[in-house]
Amino acid sequence: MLSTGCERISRGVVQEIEFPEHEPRLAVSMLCNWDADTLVARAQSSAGILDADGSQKQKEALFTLSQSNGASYTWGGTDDWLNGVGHVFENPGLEEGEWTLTAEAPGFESVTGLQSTPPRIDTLNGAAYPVAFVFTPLEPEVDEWPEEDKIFVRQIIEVELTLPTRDNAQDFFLLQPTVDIDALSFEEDAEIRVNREFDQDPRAERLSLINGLLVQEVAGSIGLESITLELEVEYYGENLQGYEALSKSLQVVAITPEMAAYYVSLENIENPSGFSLFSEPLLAYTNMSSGYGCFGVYRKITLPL
Amino acid sequence: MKSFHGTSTVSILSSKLTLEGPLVKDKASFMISGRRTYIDLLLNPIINSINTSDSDVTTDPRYFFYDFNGKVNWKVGDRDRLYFSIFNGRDDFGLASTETFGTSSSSIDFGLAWSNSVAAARWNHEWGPRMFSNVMLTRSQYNFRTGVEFSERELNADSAASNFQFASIYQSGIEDYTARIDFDFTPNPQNFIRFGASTIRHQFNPGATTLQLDFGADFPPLDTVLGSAGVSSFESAAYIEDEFQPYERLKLNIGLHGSILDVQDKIYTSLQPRLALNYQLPYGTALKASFATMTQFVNLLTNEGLALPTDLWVPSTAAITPQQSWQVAAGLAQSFDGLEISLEGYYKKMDGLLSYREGAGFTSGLNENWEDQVTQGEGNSYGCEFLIQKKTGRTTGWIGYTLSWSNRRFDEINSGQWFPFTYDRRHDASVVILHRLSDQWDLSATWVYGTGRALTLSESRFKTFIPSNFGGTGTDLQGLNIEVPSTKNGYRTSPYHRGDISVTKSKKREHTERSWIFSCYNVYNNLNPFFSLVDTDVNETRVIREYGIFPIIPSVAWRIDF
Repeated sequence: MLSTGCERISRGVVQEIEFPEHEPRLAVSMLCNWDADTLVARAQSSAGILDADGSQKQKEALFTLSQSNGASYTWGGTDDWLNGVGHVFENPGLEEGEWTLTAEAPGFESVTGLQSTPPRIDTLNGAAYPVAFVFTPLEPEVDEWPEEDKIFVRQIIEVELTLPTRDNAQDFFLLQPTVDIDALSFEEDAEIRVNREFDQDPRAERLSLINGLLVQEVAGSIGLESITLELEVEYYGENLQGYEALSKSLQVVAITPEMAAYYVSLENIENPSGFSLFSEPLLAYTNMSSGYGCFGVYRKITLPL
Repeated sequence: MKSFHGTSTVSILSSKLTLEGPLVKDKASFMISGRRTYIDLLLNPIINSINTSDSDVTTDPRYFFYDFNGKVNWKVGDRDRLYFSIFNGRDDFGLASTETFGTSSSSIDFGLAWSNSVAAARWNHEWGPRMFSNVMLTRSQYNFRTGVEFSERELNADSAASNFQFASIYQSGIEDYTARIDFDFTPNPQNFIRFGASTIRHQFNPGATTLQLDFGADFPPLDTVLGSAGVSSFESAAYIEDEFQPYERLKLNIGLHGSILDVQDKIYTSLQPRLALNYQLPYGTALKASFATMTQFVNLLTNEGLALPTDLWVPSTAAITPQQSWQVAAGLAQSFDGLEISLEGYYKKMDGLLSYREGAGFTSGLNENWEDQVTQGEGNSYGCEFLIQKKTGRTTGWIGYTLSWSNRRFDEINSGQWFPFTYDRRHDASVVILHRLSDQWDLSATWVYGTGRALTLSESRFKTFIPSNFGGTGTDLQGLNIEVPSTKNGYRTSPYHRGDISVTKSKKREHTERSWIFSCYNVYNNLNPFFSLVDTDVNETRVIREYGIFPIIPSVAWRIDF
């Protein structure tokens, strides 16, 4: 008996878990740029944690966007399904305001979610929702690798941003630096990231999911003025002209509070910090009536660096 | 104060020694006591000899505790006594595993340790037949430490060792300096008045993480400390209570406690009225009832992760308000034929409770202030306790049972809905039986039961798609498989239950009493969970794998009282 006990100390004792039977529901993801030509929605089935088939796409799902003034648009079904993307809706130039998304699929209860579009963000003087910025690129550091006939470039770009705020609403932004690697040749590579100098600013929170930041107002701060960042660009290629031709930009994305909550919860789930031994499973935010997924709307502006 | 006494117990699991005697006859005496368990030393070879499925792996669970007590009692005069005491204790739990592959090996060591030390000086003074006082000065220190250490070692062909070592160690602690004075005053036979005051300087170190990295001789090692700044505070309190008997059948205790906390330039004050009554009903039945309000400036912060709930004690600060609570309780007690029976119900309401925000924990946000990771909410606990006790005769013992609920609610957790606290324990039962067979032989048996700890498990999952490259067209979405947990603390670990038996044979001699104690801990070998992990078994079924520490442990001890 003592030996049996000691063996179980080493390997642990298995307790079977009686999970309740899971009733599949629609998990809807529609996080879209309101100004884009096409909007994409995806519906998946939820699955029990032990269900070997997992979450399945619902190609027959129908989506309806509607407003209280009677405007209504429906798309979906297998005709609108684009492999690798989802159900694609050609944007007819939807108005701003409050929209309800309804998703239906055979065998599932229909689900709804509500969103108010954020204002259009712009850099123009006099714009209703303006972003102001100053970019200061420092001198690039160039290392030559003659044995490979290549160069390695590292450049710091200092950024100061002032983002718009409204008195009657919460304002959230995603900041994502991007480089156009599609334009690079096979022998080139490039990367851009936000350095950690923003750590002292409580308004900015790193989101590894997007290789960027979530910015929001916090108590005691002075709105969203003078947010300073340091971007670091790395390039590997044949010559300095290749680096100078590299398309670098900062995406400033105005998002809704619901979309912000969804990204933060997914970030906490996907990239937990601390010892996993002490963590517990986290609930993903949802604004869908099924309890799975999110309807979120964003608007963005691209600032060339 | 007159003669020297001692007790020594030696067993295969632990040893204990107590010595007491006079320093100056009728004036001063001392007592020292110490004990140390060494159950891990006994179990480790057995575990590794049994774990033969992989001879390259050695597993070394570690559990021990020790404590030491020392006390000096000095009778200064007829009315004054001085006491000096010290206590030091430590609990250490850990699990180390080493795997060897050829000339290389890797090892991981996870551990938790708690330690306490207290030094106290006390002065008792009898002011007269109606007034007695007790003055006490203490220093106490509590430390908690947990961490993971990982290392790899490889012997190269030239026998030069190449090493990699990583350690992340989390530590927190509290150091208190306390001065307090208490008075007992009996102005007349109907009133017994207690009053006093105290002040405590707390120094909290709510958490610091030490990160150590060593890549061998070719790279500079990293050794850095991250974490929250310490918090110091002054807590002062005064109280008065009167126990009196307005009627023959009724005893009342009315009191008022006041407390004040000075922390980070913020002052918290609190007045806490308290009332207790005892009413004698016919046939020897007593009715008891009480009401109390309480303010607590030291807050329990529990990390409710699956593996192991880990408690930290953190201060109220300028940003963290003190915990407020009130409690009502009522019960009946009855004695007859050597049996005492009591039944009591209670309800407690708490506000200002502290919890980690969802996604936060004491090891997350290494360089963040702990205050940014917590949220405050409310809680309640209620239940009833039943106890039947037999104190006389050859067979004595008790049966106790508690049925209780303990719930929490935080705006930022579980969507603001109520959920069971991780220590919510629906059933708690204990049975203790002691039987004196003869002057030489005693038997005892104990059985305890407690509902398992509440925990949160993933219950369903779905796939979601989010934009992750905002420089694109908006149609390139990233798919994520997301698990969805149950409602907070919707599952339970296995219940804790255990039976112990012992037989003691004693023999008295002129100056000593010697005993042999044959005992068996956990007699039916139920490996109670100490920590748990979610695992997937061979059938792809998700299970909880529960790790316990103590299997059945037979033991023989020899004790001498002299």
